[in-house]
Amino acid sequence: MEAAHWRRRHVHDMLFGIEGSGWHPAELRDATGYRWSGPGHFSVLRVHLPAGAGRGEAHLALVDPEPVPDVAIFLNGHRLAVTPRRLGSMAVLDFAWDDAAMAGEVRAEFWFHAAKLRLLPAPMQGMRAVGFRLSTLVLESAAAGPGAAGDALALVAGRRFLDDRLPVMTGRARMAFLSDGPARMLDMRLEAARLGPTPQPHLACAFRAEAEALQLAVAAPGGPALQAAMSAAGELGLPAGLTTRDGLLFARLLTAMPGAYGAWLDEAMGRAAPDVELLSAWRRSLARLARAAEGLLAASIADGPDPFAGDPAAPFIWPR
Amino acid sequence: MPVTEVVLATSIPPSMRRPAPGGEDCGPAWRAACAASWAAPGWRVLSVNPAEELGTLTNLPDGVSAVAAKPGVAEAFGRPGTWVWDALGQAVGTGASVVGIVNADIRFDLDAGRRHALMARARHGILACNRMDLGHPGQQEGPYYRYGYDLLLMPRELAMMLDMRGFALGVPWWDYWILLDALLHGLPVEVVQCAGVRHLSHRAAWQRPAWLAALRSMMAHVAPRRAALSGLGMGSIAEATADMLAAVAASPQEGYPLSELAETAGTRFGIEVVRLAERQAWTLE
Repeated sequence: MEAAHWRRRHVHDMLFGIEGSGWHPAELRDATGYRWSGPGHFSVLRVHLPAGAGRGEAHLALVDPEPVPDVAIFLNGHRLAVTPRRLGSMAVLDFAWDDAAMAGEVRAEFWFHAAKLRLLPAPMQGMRAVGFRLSTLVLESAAAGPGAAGDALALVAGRRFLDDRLPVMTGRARMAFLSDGPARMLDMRLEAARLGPTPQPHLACAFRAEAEALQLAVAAPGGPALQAAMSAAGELGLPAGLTTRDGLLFARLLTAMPGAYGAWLDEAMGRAAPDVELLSAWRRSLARLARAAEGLLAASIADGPDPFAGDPAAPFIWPR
Repeated sequence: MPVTEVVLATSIPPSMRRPAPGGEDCGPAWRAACAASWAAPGWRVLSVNPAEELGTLTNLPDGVSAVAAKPGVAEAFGRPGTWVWDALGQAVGTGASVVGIVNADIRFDLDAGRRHALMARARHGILACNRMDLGHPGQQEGPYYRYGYDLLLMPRELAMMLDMRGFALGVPWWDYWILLDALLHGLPVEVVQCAGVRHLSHRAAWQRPAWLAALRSMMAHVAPRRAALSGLGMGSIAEATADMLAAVAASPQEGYPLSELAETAGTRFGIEVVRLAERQAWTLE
């Protein structure tokens, strides 16, 4: 008897509400639901996904004799090899990812980059730029996934405690991409950020990436920058001069950088023709930085001085 | 002689038309190929048909037998047919441990391993299988149709708990209600995609009035179990849609534009049921 195998599928139907950007409203045509990508080349979809490797299918609705659209797919900044195939009135983009693409990520951020846009009339809306029609995203984990949720309570409690005792907000981010020889540089301006109880109306974050190493400087207006660096091996050194609690707040800010980057993408990619390779390189760099900061936080909370001993209402102090 | 472990109910139509790409009608051949594909060691099929159709069901393959259906479908939906409760009840009556329903235009390409996998899993809950749509009988691969379930398998004891009154085979909504009814009972439901459940694409066979009538039938079942619906966590939009559909179903003569409203809201509620069921979605390879 030939062996049969069961694989768990996670289905994301674009007819429903989605988390992400770069999609037109949902439509239903001939019993097939979809959303057009657009108006820019770049579309983002964030979904929950178990950690580890897996594979997926993006189902694209076609209207014959439409060719299969040229779409690049990224997961958390990692470009995925895409194999397109036609399946009746659908196109299927097959892809897979490895452990690294989901390492340390709390959810999956898929990017879709449409090579071509075209202008089509929308009912009672005039012309609009569209790329491709995404109907469903079907994801399958390579592993069976976690078994009993033995650590779930501790994780939930821990996250709530950190949000309560070490709260940070990145606020609204603006980005400028630069280069200096082989180094990539990113100027990130944060508006309405918060470190602990202290509002930070303007923060200037300067990143410099060279190979796998990353240097960063974070400054409030009129003050000296806090310098930090992450080695190519992922070891992070925090700035000197901060109190124990403020050092951890600084680390928490770094863990929030991928989220700030994603929020900026949602806002900035509307009509952009982006350099997706550059964007993905920075997404990976910020994810590595966030993982390093999480590791440092965990080690500090476990083995360092009690960061929760002081007054949680005490303001964040910038070293002078 | 092998023990019958799975009994499926269906209703083979007296005739079947399926225009092929070249223009010829491959319906009769497809109808025969479907019927020939169902039975296997341990698997039997009952075709439950109105009495006047039984004479057309000649030369059925081994393992497929015809039985008379209970009356009343023609009066309710305007054409002869089979009640779902009758079909499922006939399968339950055989005493098989796993029972189910297969639509008559589904062809199985299931080897023994996949049949065993389906049967073993169906001992623990409802398996609702999407069909793979083909453009012509020789096509190897096609897209799955996610918004319908053409093969359902379940434990006999679970089938006896379902309330399928008011639904007929061949009329929409019964496949959604059977899943929703099970979920409202707290019973396990899984959606399965398997390339061995194959269907030849055709235009929708049902008419709008029958679609709306069956929707009203479903909402009449949902309304008294509204509190249980909240327990499924379908979300505020799904619940509000159900409330509106139940109100329209209770007073369909209230005027413009209730039938249009019901059609749109019914479509939305249908895909909400699909989403709910797909919380447990599996591929069988």
